[in-house]
Amino acid sequence: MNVKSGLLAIFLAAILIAACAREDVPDDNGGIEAKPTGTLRVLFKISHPWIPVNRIVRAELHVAKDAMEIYKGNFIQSANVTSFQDTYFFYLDPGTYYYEAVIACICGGDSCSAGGFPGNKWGTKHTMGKFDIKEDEVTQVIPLFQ
Amino acid sequence: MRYSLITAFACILVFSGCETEIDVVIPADPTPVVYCILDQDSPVQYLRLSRSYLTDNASIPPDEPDSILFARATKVAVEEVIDGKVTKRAFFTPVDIAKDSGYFPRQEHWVYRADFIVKPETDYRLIIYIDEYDQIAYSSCYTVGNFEIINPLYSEVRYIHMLPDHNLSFYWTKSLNAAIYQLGFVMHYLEMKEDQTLEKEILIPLKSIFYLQATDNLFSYPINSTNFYNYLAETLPIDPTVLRKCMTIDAVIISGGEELGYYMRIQEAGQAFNLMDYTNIKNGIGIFSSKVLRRINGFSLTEQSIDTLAYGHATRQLNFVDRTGTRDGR
Repeated sequence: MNVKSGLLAIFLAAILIAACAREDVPDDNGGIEAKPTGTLRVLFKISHPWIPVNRIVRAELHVAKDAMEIYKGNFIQSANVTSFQDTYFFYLDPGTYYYEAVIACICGGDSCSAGGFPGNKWGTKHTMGKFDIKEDEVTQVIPLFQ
Repeated sequence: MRYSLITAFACILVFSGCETEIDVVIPADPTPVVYCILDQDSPVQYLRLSRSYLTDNASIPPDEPDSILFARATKVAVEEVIDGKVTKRAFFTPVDIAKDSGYFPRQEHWVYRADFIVKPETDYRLIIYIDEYDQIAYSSCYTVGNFEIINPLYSEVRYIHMLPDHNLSFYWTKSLNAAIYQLGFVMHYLEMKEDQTLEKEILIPLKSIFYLQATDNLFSYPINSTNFYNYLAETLPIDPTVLRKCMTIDAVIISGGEELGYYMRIQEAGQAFNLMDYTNIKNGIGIFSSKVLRRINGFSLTEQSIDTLAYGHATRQLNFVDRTGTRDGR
């Protein structure tokens, strides 16, 4: 009886071990490597000397490779700006870039032009700047409008 | 003699009792199949009424052409009920419609139409009286409340960037009694062919979200921009002779009542055998509910999004022009 039980146990163990045997998994990723990226954090807060901040809205926020590409509208990335969010993140390869931020005035009457916006309602102000992205680092920019 | 008669009678009983064929398709009164989603943004309401029929093979149309529709004289009415009293009653009349493509068991078809405006957060009662069977089907629903889209907004100065690097998020306020919200876009575009230019629009429904018994007053949900292009690729026909140009897109949210929410939830779960399990029609099957649509018109796509529409792998065969108004510079 004991011999039989022992043989049965060995047989079951052999099945279990065989079932657990697996093919060797290569420990390299076939030459595929993650590209190094850095992060841009844009603190897109709204402030203005003459117009209440709740009458100014974020309109656009873009990143381009250089100032000429900003001018041409050839952006690398753009954010869907909202009134609910004042911090925006862009994940970019290391290098030098430019950003462009736009705000718009939504006051009625001539309040926008009196407050320094070109035109009246929907008049916009643009600003841009240069920044560097370094691998695994966060770069922060704060757009300022004249 | 008497015994012979009794024996013969018993034999008849025994042999006739051995009949094994059973007709499982027993004629019965048809069941009304009702679909009515009250449109709170429209002065015109529609109701679809058809009837069930028995068949051995559902892919074969019924023998009698009138098997799926009740008589035109069927009485259909919706009542507005405020403080327990009927304050308005509208009668539906049948109108012939052009059918969509697909399988239909008969050529002729009609839906029922009534002209009335549906109030938000109000009780409505549906009554259908079918004269030919002296049958009544009825239902009730409490219409959904109004709500507002609060992002995306300001289409005068904001673009929509439809790329995965920064997916757009919708924000909206609560619609009372709503259980389902569908987010999407209406894209306005031109189709140019030789000397002809047609203005067209396409609804792009992207996501249904269920918020049964939600207590929040503000909702937000991100849109997967890849689905936007995939939907267009699956829906718009490929025609190499046609050049298309995206003009503007409208952001759309539709809120639906609790009944619609339950019904769609079962449908989207892919539980085919449960499809008809949810109904709020008494003495019938189907849905009586309501919906509200909110739309922010006139957004432009960013230039990168327009180029993706033109040359992206999903939509490049649809022949949309790029940011320069051409394709491949021509």
